[in-house]
Amino acid sequence: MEKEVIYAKLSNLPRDLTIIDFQGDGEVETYLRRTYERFITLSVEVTAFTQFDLQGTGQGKSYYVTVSQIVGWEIMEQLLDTFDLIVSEAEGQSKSVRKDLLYQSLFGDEKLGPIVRNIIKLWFIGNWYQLPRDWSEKFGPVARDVTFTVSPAAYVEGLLWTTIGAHPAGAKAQGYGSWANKPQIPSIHAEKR
Amino acid sequence: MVSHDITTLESLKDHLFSAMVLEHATLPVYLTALYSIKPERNLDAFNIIRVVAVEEMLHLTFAANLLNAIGGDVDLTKKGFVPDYPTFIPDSIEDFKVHLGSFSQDSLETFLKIERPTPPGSVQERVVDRRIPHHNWCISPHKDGKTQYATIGEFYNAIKDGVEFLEKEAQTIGGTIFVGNPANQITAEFYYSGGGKLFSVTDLSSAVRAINLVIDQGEGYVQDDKPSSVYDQYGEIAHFYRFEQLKLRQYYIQGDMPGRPSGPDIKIDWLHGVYETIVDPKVTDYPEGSELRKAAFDFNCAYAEFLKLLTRAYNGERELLTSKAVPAMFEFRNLMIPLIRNLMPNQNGRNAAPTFEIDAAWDALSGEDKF
Repeated sequence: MEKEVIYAKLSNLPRDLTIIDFQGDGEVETYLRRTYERFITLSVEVTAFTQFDLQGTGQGKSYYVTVSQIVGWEIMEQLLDTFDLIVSEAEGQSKSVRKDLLYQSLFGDEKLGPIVRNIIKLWFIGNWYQLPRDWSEKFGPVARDVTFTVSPAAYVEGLLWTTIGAHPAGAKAQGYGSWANKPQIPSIHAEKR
Repeated sequence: MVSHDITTLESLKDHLFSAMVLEHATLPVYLTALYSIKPERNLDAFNIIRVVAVEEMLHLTFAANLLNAIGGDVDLTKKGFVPDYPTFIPDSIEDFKVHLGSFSQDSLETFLKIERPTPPGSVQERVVDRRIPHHNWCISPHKDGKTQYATIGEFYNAIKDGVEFLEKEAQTIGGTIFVGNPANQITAEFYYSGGGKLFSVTDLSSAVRAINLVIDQGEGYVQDDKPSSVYDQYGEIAHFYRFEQLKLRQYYIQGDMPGRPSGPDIKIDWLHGVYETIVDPKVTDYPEGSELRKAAFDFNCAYAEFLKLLTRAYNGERELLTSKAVPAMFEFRNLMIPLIRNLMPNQNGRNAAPTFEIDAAWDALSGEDKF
């Protein structure tokens, strides 16, 4: 199937993100499954959390679809392609080479950089932040690009809570009297990788 | 005249420990189903399962109070305390297996079987001959070593008879079987929960009251051998009828007769509202060296530590229940949920789940086996 046809079909996805399960053998489902896996690989790199942790939030698919619906499926694929290219270029090289490549070609890219930074914010806070004005002026305003919380669950599952060893206010309560205990800040997984 | 099934204190202690095993055995099952429900989905089912799970903790604590009351050894860290799933539960109609897995129409049927009231007059014999080997049962076999209690209700009735028989026997020579340390009794101020207040078991009447509460909350209130209402005398709805609401897709309200709820509708989204997990997972099902395997193993260790805490709380350190055990419960919730949200490799889109292989966790914690 032509890419354009897939993009057209994807644009008809339901807005209710919680019912998207990517199952099935159709071309659209297969495409979604494959690119979603790449989105998770990218997310592991930029959040320093493991795949298990990210999937454990239950928010991955909803974030992937949110970003894609806002910036467009084509730009999302461009972002994933660029990341794959960096990974293959950095293969066998030192950590600092990989880091430099990421900064130059991804975070430093005027089109992709703001999107990657927004993906990090999504995982940590559960919010999509409106893209900078420069971005919209250059690459065209996109629909739904306003600051919003993706879902109530996204707020609860933000990685920021794990990072600071706390729980989201109003959710995931730790039980009566637990406030007397010290916060338990988990080790940073990225160091172990 | 029923011949007594329990005629020694040792046998009564075994039965009460068995009751703790049984009351606890439903907890991993209900918790796995509970946390397989996606956030903001199936809220009715979520709330109903949660309430039942909390009450199973209450029943476990009552069983501990009973065993403590007669000076038994309340030790949740004993090998075999957590059954190897699937486990068998006796039932008057047909014995059945209880599996660990996500919330589904099948698991709802199992929940109903676990909590089903025994139809009046349907049990002719307290014990029956079962073909299934005893080690698969989560309650101890009858003393004759061959037969099994016909239902959970009959199991508890045997305990009630045993308590009465042994206490009367002890009293004829001026003694009592209630020789346990009263300071080990968990009372309401040490534990908060809906559905009945905890009280001390110190004599025959409090023991009988505790056993009746456990039976009634599970199976429902039966008067004159007929279920008169889905509500008990405290306005609480029995577990069976709580779950039946999910099957009939309607809430019971005061005055409703069994099978005919007339409250608000209940909706269940089986397709998009639940993470479907593999059934009866084992740590070895997860790829060696994978994060999944480590998470499953870590969960079992955390759960083992939780059982250790409960054991201390039931043996004198009562304040640990709210200060440590309750936070620990929330902590293992946070360990279960990520597992349930992670896809299992090569399982047709089904997700992982905690395995509750606690005996193996004890081995590992004591250094006998390292993963």
